[in-house]
Amino acid sequence: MSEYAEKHMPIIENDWEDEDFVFVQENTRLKDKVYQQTSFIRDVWNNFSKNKGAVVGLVIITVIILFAVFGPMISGYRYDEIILAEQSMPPRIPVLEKFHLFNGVEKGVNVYKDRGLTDVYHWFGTDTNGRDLFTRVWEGTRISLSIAFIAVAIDIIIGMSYGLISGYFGGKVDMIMQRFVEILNGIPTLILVTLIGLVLPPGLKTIIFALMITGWIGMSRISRAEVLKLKEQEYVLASRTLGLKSFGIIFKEIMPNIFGQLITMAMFSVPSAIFMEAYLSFLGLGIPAPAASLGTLISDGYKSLTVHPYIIMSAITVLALLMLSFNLFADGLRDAFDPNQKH
Amino acid sequence: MSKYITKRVLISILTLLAILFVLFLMLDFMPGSPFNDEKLTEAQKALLYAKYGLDQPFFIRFAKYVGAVLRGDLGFSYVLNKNKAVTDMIKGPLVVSLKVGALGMLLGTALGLLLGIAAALKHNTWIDTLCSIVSILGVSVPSYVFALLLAYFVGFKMGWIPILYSSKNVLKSFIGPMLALAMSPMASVSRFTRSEMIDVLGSDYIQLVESKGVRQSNVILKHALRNTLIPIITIMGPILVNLLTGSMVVEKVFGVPGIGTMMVTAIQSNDYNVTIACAFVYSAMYIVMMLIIDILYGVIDPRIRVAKEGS
Repeated sequence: MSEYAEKHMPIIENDWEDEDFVFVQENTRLKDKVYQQTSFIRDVWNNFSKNKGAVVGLVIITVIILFAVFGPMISGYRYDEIILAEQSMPPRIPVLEKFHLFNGVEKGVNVYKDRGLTDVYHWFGTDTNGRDLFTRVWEGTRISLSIAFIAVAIDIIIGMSYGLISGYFGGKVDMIMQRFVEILNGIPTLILVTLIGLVLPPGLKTIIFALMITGWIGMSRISRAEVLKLKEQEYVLASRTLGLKSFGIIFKEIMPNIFGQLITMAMFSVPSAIFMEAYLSFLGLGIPAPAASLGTLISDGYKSLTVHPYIIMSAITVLALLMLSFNLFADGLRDAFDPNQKH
Repeated sequence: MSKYITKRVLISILTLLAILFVLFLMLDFMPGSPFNDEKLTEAQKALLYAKYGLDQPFFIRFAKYVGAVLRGDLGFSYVLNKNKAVTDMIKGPLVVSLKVGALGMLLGTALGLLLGIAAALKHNTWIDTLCSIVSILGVSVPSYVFALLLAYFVGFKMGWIPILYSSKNVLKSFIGPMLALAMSPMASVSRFTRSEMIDVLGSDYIQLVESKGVRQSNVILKHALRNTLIPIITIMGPILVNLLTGSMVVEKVFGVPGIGTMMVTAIQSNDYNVTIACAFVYSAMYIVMMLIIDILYGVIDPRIRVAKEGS
């Protein structure tokens, strides 16, 4: 280049990049920016973990379940082991001994020293029969929780099928099925549960059966309402056009879409099932001794409420915590599954 | 409107019949017969069965039973109060139960409204947080746990309220059960009021009223509260259910001589006739209240009526 040109001609900045000279398909700059896709479960979890109460609820539930599974193993006692020398002992926990509530002192007397049991520790105390309450409370929690989970699982299966079928077919089928639900729903659950508890022999099966009789109604309502919404959608029409039979559409296409709501509902049902069980036990229609549930423990403790209040306190605390945390958890879950809904 | 009401009434009657049927089945299934005497021969038993109509077909006996119940004849108590008519036994306790329940409901609703309004006005402050803590506690902790805690701490430890009901001091004896029963309505009402009130306060007509210069108290009491109150009727149903459920055990805890205590005692002493009578009274109350709530709601909000008629 001549000297003149170097002086007077503007230098064109090279504003291109090597990439501009490759085929379009290989040019990363021209591709749409796509954010990382998040799965449905991850979305739910992100929404859920923002809700402090719900996370606390989940943590408490986990801790209680762990205790319910392992508690009876680590206490060193069996739930039906009667030790006559150790009746009605207040709580005493090794490290927490220095503190007021867990020092084995009742009405100013250290019961453990009094009876010469200085190296015995009953973490929640013992009941009037001399059974270790720590073992019994967690054993009871385990039974109460299993009753609730089994009952709710059955509720989901029955309620979901009922609601799906009723909502999908509509017309006369729906009419008859809904009238049946309305009549059943008119009977107070408590009365029905009590009557069933009276007629059938006491035990796990009776309680689960009693809870099952009315528990599914809520589930059926939700699934019916959802089906009414979903069955007009195009993907259902597409499936039908492709020749899928009604039952295939109901259970393969529609069912997966209402699962979130059903799980939320189930989590709300767990505490009410636990409550119903406790209530039945309080009436004396619960699980026969020596097995224990939270309800039977509370009704036993109630008999000596003014003499040995600690007997009832551990069971009441666990029951209240369990119901509280399940409600918090379910609240969070509902918002997480459906963040747009206003509550 | 009349179509909607007729339908609701019909369904309620059917429900009542269904309950009577369940109760009748119970009576039929109950172990033992009144004629268990070994001295009776088969012929004598047959005569007795014929005399009491027990040899008739199932449905005729059921029809007779329904007739008897509707006339107020609920049989006789066998255990608790031998040979006394159950109807006479139930009257007194029913009144007591209704009083305690109504008091608990009133107190709970009033406190719930106050708490809910306060929380909505002071949205996102400590009052709001307090309100949500109270409501989640009240919704999730069963009323009989409250009853037990009240009885022990306030009743036994502090001695402020009597632990057991005494007919000498009825008013004071009502405090414990009333407070325990008030928790659940308070929780639901405050929760609902709060969210409704926040909605209403953000609406255009409230802004208009405020910009006209109406006093703050009038804005809330005259304009906002009214529109908040209507939807609260929807949650009255579940609240009543909780109240009924709670009352049985709460009454038992405080020894209130109501229908709940009577039912629990009857269950524990195998007095079937009394148990079934109490179950019937509870169910009948429940059905009537639900019917009233449904109709009331249909009257207030025409959309419900239309939706239910359409389906």
